[in-house]
Amino acid sequence: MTLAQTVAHPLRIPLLRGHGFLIVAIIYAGLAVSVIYPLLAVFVQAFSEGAGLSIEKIQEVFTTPNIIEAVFNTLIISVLTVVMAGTIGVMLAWLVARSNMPLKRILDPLNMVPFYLSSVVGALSWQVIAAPRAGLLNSLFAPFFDTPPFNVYSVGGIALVLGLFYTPYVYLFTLGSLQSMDASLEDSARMSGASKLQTAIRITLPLSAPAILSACILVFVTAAGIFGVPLVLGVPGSVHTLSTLIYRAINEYPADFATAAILSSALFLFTAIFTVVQIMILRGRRFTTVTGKGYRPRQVDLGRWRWPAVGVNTLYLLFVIGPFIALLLVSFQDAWTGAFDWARLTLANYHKVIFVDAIAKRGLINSLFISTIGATIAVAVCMLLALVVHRTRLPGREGLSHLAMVPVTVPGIVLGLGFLIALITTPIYGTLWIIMIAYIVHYLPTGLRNSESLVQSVSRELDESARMSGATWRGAMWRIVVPLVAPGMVSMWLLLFVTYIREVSSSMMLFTFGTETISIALIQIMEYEPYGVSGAFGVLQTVLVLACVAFIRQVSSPRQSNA
Amino acid sequence: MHDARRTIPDASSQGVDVSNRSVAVKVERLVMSFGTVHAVGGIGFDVVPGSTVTLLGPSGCGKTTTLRCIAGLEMPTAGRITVGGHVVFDGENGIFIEPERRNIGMVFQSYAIWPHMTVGGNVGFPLAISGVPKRQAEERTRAVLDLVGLGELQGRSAADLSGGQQQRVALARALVHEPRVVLFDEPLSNLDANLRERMRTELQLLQSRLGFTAIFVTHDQEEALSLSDHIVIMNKGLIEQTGTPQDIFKNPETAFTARFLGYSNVFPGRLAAIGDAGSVAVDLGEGRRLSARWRSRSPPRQGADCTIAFRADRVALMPANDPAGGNAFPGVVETVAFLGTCFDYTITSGAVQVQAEGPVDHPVARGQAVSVAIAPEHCHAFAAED
Repeated sequence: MTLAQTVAHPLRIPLLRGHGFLIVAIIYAGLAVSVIYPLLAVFVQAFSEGAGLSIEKIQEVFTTPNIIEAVFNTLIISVLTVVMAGTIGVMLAWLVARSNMPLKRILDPLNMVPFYLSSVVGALSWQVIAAPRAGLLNSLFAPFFDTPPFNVYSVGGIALVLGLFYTPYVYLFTLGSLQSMDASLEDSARMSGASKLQTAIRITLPLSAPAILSACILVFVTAAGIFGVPLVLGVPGSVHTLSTLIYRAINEYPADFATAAILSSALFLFTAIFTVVQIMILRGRRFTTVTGKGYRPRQVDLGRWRWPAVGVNTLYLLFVIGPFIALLLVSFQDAWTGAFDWARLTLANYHKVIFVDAIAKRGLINSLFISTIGATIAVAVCMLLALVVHRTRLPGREGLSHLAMVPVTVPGIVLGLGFLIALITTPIYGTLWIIMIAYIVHYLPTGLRNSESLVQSVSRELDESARMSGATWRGAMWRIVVPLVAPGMVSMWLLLFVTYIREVSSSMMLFTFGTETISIALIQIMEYEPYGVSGAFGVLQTVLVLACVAFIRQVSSPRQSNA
Repeated sequence: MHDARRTIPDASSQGVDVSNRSVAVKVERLVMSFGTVHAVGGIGFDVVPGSTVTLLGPSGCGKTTTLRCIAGLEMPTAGRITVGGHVVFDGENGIFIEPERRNIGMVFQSYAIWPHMTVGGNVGFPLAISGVPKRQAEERTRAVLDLVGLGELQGRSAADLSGGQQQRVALARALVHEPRVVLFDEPLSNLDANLRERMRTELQLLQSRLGFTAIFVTHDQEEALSLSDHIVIMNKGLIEQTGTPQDIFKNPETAFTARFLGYSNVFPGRLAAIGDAGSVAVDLGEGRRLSARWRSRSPPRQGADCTIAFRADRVALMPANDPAGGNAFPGVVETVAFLGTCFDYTITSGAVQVQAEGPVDHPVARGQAVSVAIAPEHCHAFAAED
């Protein structure tokens, strides 16, 4: 089909408007420069240590003991994260979608909260409660053990935090699949003599398997490429992952670009392969699952397990939100003694991060600047791409959306390294713009998916009738399509804003003195300030993010029905 | 069998050479390919100003694609389209006029009412776009809304209109800038049966009052028969037959047309004899033989395979072995269904199952042996389908 479509009839060529062709060419060039060039820069660097092409350096890197150890750590962390996020996510999704668990309406949005929170702040809050010496839990249990029982500075600690924070991905995918499933598929299994459990195992699970599997792969590759949490929780205990080693290679003196590039290439290949598998699974899903219509899926009566189910869900939330509450308490204390003390209540920490600490102030202002301008540019770019792809007949338009999806396979730290290598000699290096560009490119797939589904939600006949009424293409887009998707564009902007505010990986590769972002500032403050100060800064970031999320929900809740 | 090009004469001027008269829409050798698939395979027809032409056919026959090519919403692969004397598409000379510059109104299947505007905003949009002064635009909007009976809704939000109201708003919007030609893509298919009939009448009234040229697309033969001056029957991207509704209904030229127009008895047979003036004898096997009229353009050949078609309401059920039967063969009544205005019968005759209708006051019992009789002028014979 696509092949056939690209074979243009010879007659069409004189019909092409010259500028249409030019526009597509310009977009291709722009995407190639911003998406492909940084990746190429990493590959070239990886193979060109010294003069000419060489693989000796690659051999050397992968025989270094601590690198081998880091590869293993990365794999173990990813596997543990998937197991944890997969188990909890599927279980909670099933409870919310298919059981009569009480309080669902409250629990469902709460289960999504970690999706929006910064996992670095999460790691910080876990430090507060489970650091070997000062952790809240360790001081609580100290009387019963000789040595502190909890140590969050470990492979297990990293996986625990990642697992908690990536549970919503599995939850969301599974929930969607379970909720959209045609109830008659399950009903007919029951009518064929299958029990509830047999139906769940032989019908429901296989039907949602593609969704679950693809969510798990997504979590797997994201965990493998993640940088912030291993940096906060791994480095203090000398637990390294591929991403922290890439960072260390760049920050050594002299910087070892070759090692960083080789490790990045390996990491990229790993994530790219799994992401392609994931995309293929999702593509196949269209045929296997679920018609839109049909009845609402039946709900399983949990009987006396109804309230224990609420307990399980609450326990998950407690693991995520509990540490944040601990962090909140710590941020209001002038010194942390292991328990909240009214006598030590203070706002000094907040005063310090808002008015005194230069890095904190810079981080906040820089991030607000980057995120506001960046999200605006990204929304404009993604909407334009979506309109060109779905609302024109320009040749080669489908290729544009494929090209723009490439960054989905690239971990942030790899992309950051790419921009670093590609732009370090240009004047743009050392400015906020290089970080902004990296953000826009890194989350281009997020934005494009969003804007494509917005544009596709508007029936073509709505803008075609504008054309028939005398409007030009631009007029039809501007007066019909854009106003109809405007609420969606607002939530898309906020989603990107929140995403940019939390970003750690590529910022860490690209910041210089003066261009620290809010997450960089937090990580730096954690190094030299007590928990109270970094806690206050973490709380500030979290409040900012949650306010945006609340606003997103507000904007997108009354859905435009006709569009 | 598939003529690439037909001319549709105006109903009021049959026999007059139309090539000298102005033509509202002229489609020539139109080809629309999606990759290797020909959605439209090189068709042509003319539409006389002020007339209504319907493109009729099953889904996937290329009728909507043809309409969208006229509108300018699709880029045809080849051919030429002329609207009101202006060439709007010419594949050979690289001419493609954008849809907004063709001055064509269009009513979409979904009506495509913009939910973020008022009713007046929707209808007045074409005027606003073309820069008509605001006061004047409002007056014209009001006038056309009055015309479709929605004058009082001008300021209402367009988001919560009923199906019938949406249809009228879409129609008003298509008419407000007084286009030469108005295109209708299945305009009635989303309405319920009662409303559909009323809108059909209103459309005809509006058209006779405003005098625009209308091109309809529908898969509903009843709609096509009742609305059109001329019908273009399409099948697999080609034109099967064109003509006035009566002409097409009475004299289908292909078995496809017959079947599509509700001829429920279509059987394969063999040409046993060729008579004068298009009369033929068709052998249906096992001794059944019917006289019929030859309808295909190609001449009949003795002994060749053919297809015979007749309508259920043209079948007369006579007592078995009635010598008055004439053009008939024997059978047994298999099923009887009472439909209110008539009886519906299935008669089995060897391998052939005939659908028949009978008057309510002379029921025929199940199991009865009958003679199935059809007047030769109601039996249509065609060259065998591929």
